Amino acid sequence: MKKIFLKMVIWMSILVISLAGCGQNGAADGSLKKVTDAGQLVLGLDVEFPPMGYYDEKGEIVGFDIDVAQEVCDRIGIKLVKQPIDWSTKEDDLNSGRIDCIWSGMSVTPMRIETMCLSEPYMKNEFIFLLLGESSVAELNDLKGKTVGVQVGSTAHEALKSSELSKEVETILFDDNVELLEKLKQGGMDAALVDSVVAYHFVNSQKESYFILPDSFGEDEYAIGFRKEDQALRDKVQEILGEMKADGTLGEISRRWFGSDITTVR
Amino acid sequence: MNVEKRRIKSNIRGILISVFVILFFLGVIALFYSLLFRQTREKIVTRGELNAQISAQQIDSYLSKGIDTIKLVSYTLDNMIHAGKSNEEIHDYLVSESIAVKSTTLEGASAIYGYINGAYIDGAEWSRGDDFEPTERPWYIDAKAFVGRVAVVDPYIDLMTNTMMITFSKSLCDARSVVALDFSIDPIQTVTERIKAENASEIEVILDQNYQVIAHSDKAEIGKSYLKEAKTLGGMAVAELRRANSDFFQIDYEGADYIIYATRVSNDWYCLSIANATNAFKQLNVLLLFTVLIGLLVFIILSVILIHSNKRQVQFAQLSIQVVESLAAAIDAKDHYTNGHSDRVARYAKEIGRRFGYSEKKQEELYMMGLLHDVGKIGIPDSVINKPGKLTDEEYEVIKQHPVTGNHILSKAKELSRMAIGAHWHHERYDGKGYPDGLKGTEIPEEARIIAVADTYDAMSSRRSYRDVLPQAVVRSEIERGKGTQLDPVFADIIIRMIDEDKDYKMCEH
Repeated sequence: MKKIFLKMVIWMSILVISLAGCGQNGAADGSLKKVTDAGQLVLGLDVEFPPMGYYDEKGEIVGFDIDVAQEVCDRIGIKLVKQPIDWSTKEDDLNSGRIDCIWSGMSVTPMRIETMCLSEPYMKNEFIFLLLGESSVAELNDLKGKTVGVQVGSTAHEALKSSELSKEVETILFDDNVELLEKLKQGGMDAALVDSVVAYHFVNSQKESYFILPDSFGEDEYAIGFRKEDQALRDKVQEILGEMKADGTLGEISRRWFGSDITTVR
Repeated sequence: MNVEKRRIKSNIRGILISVFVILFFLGVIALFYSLLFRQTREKIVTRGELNAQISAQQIDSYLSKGIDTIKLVSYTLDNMIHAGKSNEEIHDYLVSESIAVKSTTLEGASAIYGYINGAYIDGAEWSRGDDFEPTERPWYIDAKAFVGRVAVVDPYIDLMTNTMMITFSKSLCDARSVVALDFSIDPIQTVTERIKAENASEIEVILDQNYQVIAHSDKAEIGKSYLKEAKTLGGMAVAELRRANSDFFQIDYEGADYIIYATRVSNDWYCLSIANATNAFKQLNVLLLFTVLIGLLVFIILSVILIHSNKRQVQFAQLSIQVVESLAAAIDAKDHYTNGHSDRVARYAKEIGRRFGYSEKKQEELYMMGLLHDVGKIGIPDSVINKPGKLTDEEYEVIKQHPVTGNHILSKAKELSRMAIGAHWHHERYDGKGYPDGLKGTEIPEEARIIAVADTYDAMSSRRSYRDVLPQAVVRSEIERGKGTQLDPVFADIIIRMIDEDKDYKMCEH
């Protein structure tokens, strides 16, 4: 409990720093006007990240983040343009102006606080080991000598790399979560290290039974990333998220995707 | 006229000083007040912080008992599921564990129950109705949504026991089974009420992540959703809490000042300490008023004293000038033929001083010296001083005594002792051939050299018993001639310039 409290303090302070870190003269920049003048918000996303954003069977981009972003754009009165991006070059896409924001279950990291103007975190996330139902692995220790799949460059990957466990398991890297989970399903690895929201969606959309390890492997929070200088746009989106929290819309969208309101917007 | 001018001047200075003193006073009071204000605020915030942290800690420790219990139970259940235990065995475990939990760690706990391996299992053997669908219950849905983390389910009031209950639930290793535990949160309510009992001006509130009141020092508030209230104290506090970037803030509600300290409780709840600071600030305002009044009173008293003493000082200064003027009049009255001589010498000397660059104060002094330079003549018998014919050598010796006599007279009065300079040495000559001491050049005090020039000039530009006023040109050439011998050339030049500017020869006896 104490550890959680400590973590919370750290996250809160990161949050405060991130708030202070964004451009100071918020309302003065023209980022919001630029978006309303263009009549659209170009949202960049990793499109292989169910249920935050992914292609459904009809080939349309759907997801929790997409539904929230759609509602935000409706309230501003602009169109939402969903732009799939390569996760490894997302900063370039953002800074070159190809997209207006990264809204794709993006974890808050100290580096991103430095280089982007982040919204307040809107969801908590945990890294979870997902296993096939017939697996004999019941706890973290049982993973020694086994193969673990993880999305390359994800915060889960970072957490694995910096852990003791990484020396004792064979890590298989995947470009996206969909490919990773497909491989797990086929028995191509012993365990997949994924975000809890991904695990939730996967387990509930499959007939087969899966197991998760009870031990937490770390946690982080999701936030929306804007260009460092786009304070006005970020503030407007944050304001609307607050309104959606107050009138229950945000909770409703969360229940649609997760059965429960798991958002943490203030 | 001079006295009047000086009085106005000193009045202006007095007003300026008063303004500065008032500003200084106000500044000190403002500084003092703002310091006190900050201190009072800080004290309230510190107390709020302390209260909120105490409550948060107590709530944390209480809730963590429930969280630890549910984690422990799910750990055991995970192992049982892995080991392929039957639902009967799991049921027996939940029954015994429910009893154990209730009797040891959590008194307010109800049974442990769950939806495990596709079946509802209840540790209290509570029989649910046929239409009971466990997978549609919030504890099941929430636990699944939080995948592996402990879900805190919206509090509800147990109608049987009339206590506020909360549910902790957690999904198990297969991500489909869920175990749950209900327990009373009345102890949390007790925490808020105790803090209120210790300090009546404090309100203690515990809010869940949706800003619904879990516990409140005023029991009637429990269950309210502050997010939906706009105009109540709670609603305003929540609005500010959602906006604020610091953990304490101040709101103004119905004319009262509230200082609020907020802290997070581990499972995303908020603990608010709301202090009504109106009274503390009101006390401060009374204090401020009191200080200002005292300050004003002291200032008024000081001003009265100052004005009074200033008036006396002015009166005294006037008196001494009047004395000097009457003394001068007495000298002139004695010497019939030098009517107004002292006054003119005084004026000429002052003008020379002014042109030479004397300060106002020194000019005044020079003027007084001029008035008194012939005071020693009082000691000369009338028969000698007003003798129409030529003086004998003895009589002339008597006349020559007057500087020494003047010095003698003026030295008596301490305040006038500097005046003696003019009286004593105005008959010294620049070349050292004068009397009474035969001083030479700069040995003669400057003031005396100036008065000597003025005296010489007036002697020629005034009537004598035997002649009228000398023509200006004669006077000028005589001064020119005396330059460097009888008179200091510097001051002689100054008066020559004065003569040259005096086109109508007004600078003489009329």
